[in-house]
Amino acid sequence: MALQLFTYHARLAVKSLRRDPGLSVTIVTVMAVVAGMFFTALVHYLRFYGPLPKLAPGLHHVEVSQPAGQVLGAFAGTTAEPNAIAGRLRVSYPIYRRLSGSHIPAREAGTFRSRLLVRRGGPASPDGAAAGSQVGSSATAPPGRPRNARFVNADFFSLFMLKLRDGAPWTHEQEAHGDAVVVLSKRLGAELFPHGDGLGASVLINEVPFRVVGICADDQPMVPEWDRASTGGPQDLLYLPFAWHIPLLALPEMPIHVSPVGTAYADLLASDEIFVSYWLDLPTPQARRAYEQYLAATLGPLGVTYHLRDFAGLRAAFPAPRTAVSFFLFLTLVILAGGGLIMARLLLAKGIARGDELGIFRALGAPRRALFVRQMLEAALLSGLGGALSVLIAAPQAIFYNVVVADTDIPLHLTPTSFLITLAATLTVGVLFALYPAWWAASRPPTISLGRH
Amino acid sequence: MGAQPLAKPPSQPPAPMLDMRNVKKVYRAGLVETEALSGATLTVKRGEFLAIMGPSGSGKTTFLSVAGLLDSFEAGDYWLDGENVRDLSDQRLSKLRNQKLGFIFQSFNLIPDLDVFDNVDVPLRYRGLPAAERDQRIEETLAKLGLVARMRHLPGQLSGGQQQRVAIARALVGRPQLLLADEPTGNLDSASARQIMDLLARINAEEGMTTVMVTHDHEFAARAHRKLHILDGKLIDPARAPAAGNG
Repeated sequence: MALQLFTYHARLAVKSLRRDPGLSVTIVTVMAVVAGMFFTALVHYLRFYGPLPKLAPGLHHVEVSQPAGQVLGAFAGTTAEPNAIAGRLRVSYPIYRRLSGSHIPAREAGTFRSRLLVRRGGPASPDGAAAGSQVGSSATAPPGRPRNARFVNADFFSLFMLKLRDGAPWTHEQEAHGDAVVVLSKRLGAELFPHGDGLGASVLINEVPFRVVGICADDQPMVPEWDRASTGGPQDLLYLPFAWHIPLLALPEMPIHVSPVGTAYADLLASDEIFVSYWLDLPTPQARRAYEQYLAATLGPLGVTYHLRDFAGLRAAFPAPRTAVSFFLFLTLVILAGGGLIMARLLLAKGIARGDELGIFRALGAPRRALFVRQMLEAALLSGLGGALSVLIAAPQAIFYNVVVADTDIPLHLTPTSFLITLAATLTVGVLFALYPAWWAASRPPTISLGRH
Repeated sequence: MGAQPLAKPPSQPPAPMLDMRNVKKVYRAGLVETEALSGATLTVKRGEFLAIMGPSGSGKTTFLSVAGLLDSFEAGDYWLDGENVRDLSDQRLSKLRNQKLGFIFQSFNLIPDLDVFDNVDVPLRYRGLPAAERDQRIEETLAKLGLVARMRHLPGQLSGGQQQRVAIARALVGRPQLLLADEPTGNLDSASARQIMDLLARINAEEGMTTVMVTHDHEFAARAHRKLHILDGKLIDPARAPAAGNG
């Protein structure tokens, strides 16, 4: 009987929406506007602080502390202050070279980012080699646009579980062989090859032809936690085999000058001025212990301090900075509560307008509890509609944002999760603020509701 | 409800349908108190047709509200079908209203956006009857009142007389034991009023439905088995001069 009555009251609640269309539309509009604000703030918030995508469970990060004071002091208080964390989070290039290749981790990857000139090359040749193999082979064409290019090892893709829409990451063999191969981000793939014919095609990077072996399925899944010291736009637009930074003479995005170095590229690599994010897969406690011993044996004699953290530990040690987004999310929650208050007032007005009907139901045998449930159902319906409508308000803003930021930032995603959170928040606010009006309407003596006094 | 409840009257079957003893009802508005019922005492037998008359503000509607369990009372006792209703929970009172009482209001009080069928369905919804039984009862009741053809009409599409017939159907569909009618002909033209009165009299006569009707109309009141007057919250039986019936 309870279910029967519930569905009956739900049907009556739907009918009631049409009873006072002005009030119903006002309530839905108020809730949609405030929920729309919340939704907008939420998608921005989730972009920075959202749950991490699935990563290799044994993922570990190696940090090597640099000589105290020299790095942090150089950037403190400046707009480049975030760069300072590089000195705490990354290992210098020479140390990376010393540590890598231990064969203790199941997988490992070093990575740093550079800005390289990228443009579309010719079609792939029949043997699969990229068209044009000479550096500077296209002297007349424009040199391409500077793009965020990330140098990574082959294991990088599986460590961070990056999904590819087309093709596959390069293999260890290709990497060892020095093949000129590249994986494009979804965005760059769509931009350079709008017809979807990018796989196998040629891309000129600093005028060196590279063959496209893969195109990512999605945008970069998160703010680059795989390299927290990245600056500027966080979107990585292409991935190149790590060793290719030498032929391309790729300058790291962020050299940290602590002492003069020579003019040759090799001088830079030999210095302590460039850093690499270094990731390992240590799937078992034994592997982790073995690597800790390896670190102690390798770095201990050099007097270099270090940390080995899993991903959760890294996040906990270096939480994402509180930004205005957090404040705006809080602000929209307050505004949402304000919308709930307005809704409560309008529901009271509805209750007054519907006094006769509630009185009739009471006279015919409806207990107070049943009418309370009915009023709450109507409130849930109204706030639920508002929550659903909020997406229509917020979606154009997010789409506009994505167009404006283009390839310089992580795009906003209107995910089902953010929609469901918004709907749940709006429903919760709607239901909470409906408690009093519903109780009030249901508790009025039938005689008063029927105007019989 | 200040006074101690009286002991239940001796159970001599059949118990009266309605048995009130010294019921008082006071309305308060700020510091002002108005005694709308002043110790009303009344017994209505099963199958009886009682008319209550009185000028505006005399307490007719209050009496009907208390009798119909729509309003509480401050003192006295009230047995409905042998059950003392003084301290019952809202849940129990709602159940009694739903199962033992039928209401007919002067202004019909139909739900405007429910059609005739759904209006009549309302009390049955709180009975927990299966859908098939509900449908059968509604159709039978509407057929008895000549409303089958109007089953899917909204109240706004019906005449006043038809609307009151729908209200009567709604009151009868739950097969109540006591029908409470608050000036059922008050909003009707004379022809429709007579038809409604005939209908109520027929229901009482044929089905033995206990009926308490408040009316201004002497002609209609004369059709009842018994007639009481109410004045300043006091019930007066004109057959027992000068103030019989009050406790």
